[in-house]
Amino acid sequence: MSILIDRTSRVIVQGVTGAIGRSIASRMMEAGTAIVSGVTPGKGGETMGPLPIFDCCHDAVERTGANASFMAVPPGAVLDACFEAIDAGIRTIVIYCEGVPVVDAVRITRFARDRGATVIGPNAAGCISPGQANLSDLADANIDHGRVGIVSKSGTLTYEVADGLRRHGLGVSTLVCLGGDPVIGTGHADILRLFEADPDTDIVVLLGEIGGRSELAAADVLRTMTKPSVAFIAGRYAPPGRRMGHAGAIATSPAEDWSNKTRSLAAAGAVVVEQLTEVAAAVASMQSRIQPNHA
Amino acid sequence: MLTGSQALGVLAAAGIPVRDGRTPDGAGQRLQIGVALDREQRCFRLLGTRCGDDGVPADDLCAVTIDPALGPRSFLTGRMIRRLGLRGAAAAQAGEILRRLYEFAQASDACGIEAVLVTDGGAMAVAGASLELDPSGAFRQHELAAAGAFDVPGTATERALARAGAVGIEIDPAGRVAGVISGAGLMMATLDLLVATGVHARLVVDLGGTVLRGTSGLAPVFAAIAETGCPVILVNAFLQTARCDALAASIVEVTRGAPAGMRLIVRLRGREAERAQEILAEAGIPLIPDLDAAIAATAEAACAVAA
Repeated sequence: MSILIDRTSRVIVQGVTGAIGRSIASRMMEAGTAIVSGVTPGKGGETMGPLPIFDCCHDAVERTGANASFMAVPPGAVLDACFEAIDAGIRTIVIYCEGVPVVDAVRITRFARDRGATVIGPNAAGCISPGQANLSDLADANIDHGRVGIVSKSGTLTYEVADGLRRHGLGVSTLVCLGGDPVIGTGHADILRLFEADPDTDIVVLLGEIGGRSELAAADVLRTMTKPSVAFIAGRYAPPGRRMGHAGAIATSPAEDWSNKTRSLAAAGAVVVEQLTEVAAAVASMQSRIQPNHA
Repeated sequence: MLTGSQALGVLAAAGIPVRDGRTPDGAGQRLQIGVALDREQRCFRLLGTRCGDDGVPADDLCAVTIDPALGPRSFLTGRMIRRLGLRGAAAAQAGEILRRLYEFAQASDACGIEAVLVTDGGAMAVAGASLELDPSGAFRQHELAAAGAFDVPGTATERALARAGAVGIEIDPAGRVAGVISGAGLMMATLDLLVATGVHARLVVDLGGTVLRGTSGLAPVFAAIAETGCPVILVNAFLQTARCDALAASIVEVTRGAPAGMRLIVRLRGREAERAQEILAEAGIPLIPDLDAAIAATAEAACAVAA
């Protein structure tokens, strides 16, 4: 078992004929993810290697049973592509691209909620359950299967932590990168609830950053969780009022800054580390809480 | 951000009644109203409060959450207007202005609007406004973009880096280290590590998409950094989609004519990192795979140039 995606996931790549879509689809095929088709309007009937391409998601779902989508379309096309995927019945969607207008993100998340779909992103690296399915830009070869769940806004921070866990002989059950935009479809708290219910996850790593209140909502969930957690918040020394790369990484009130977030997470029972490079060691120190792998 | 007459002009062009001057006529009303993004609820809210003659809010803020599927229906705006104490024709006009401001925000990629609403000849009109526009919407807001409405303020270096497709944050003009990093999260975490080690960072840069564009993407980034005269550069990337070998080749290329005293520390991990190490070694640039070790080397270099 894992969260969001597993061996039953049947993945499509929307925008598969673009540079990013092609690269991600090729990697998924090489790694053995069950990628069943690509979708690019106007390219229906073509193929990319063994992969059929459809004009629209409805065709892809009807012909291949697709239920998850990695969206690699440009920002201006994301709104329609997302509506289409959700309307076609796809239930897990990763919006990869950066620069999706906030008003579009608001409409997407509302429609997804109505239809019971999970949207990760925009501006998200995606999610991967190593050995089962990969709906992300992360390379399967760089992440070991294990029993640590990771949830993060940032993709690059998860690369570091997964790599650090590997050096400690630890692996990942599912890794979820939520995205760094101001409005994202899924927050830390949503993923923590899933990890708590996942029998294959023993410890949770929460990676956050300044700006927004996703980590504060996560602290409320952590208080109720039975599984131990390690947390790191990036941006301690960010200049006040500056947007730190991610569109959502700006503290607009004291509640959204590093101090309050770390204090809230620690009060909720998380082991909070001050530096990124301390995360893996903190998890390793809890190894007694990790069951032997039964992948 | 658009303010003053520029903001009023944009609103007038969108069919919203405006007037110059913030003083209501006669014994008229003055309200502060707005449209604001609620990140956590993933929706917009309408805000309003009554103001005294001095323009200071006289009441607590009224807020109404707008369901994106419903939009600002009259029962929603009407509830807020009644709470603001308006009745009759003024209430209807104020409600209509609120509705139009919300529609304007949706159509123009505005994620925040603040407006002063006053009576004007017996009718309500916007007498002052500021519009916060979402830079992600600039690609489809051609007129507003041409007017500079999406321009992000910043230093000359930050603007040069933005033109190059990267995000630069100036930290300390007296700092001696520039961090060139792939990814916003890692950029923040790297700054945290540098500062905790006692390093005064001059600026940090998130390469963003430039990391995929080879030498042509990296060259303007390094040119902008060179303009600052910063003597130590730390490159830090953990690449999954882009390739370390391609980035290493670009680093070698763009630093070929660098000043003799410049110290370059390169930490790369991820895709094709071993090949990257070979490329850098051929150019006499050591690659430090471990992040803590790279930070320590950067701190040492910063001390050396300061000595």
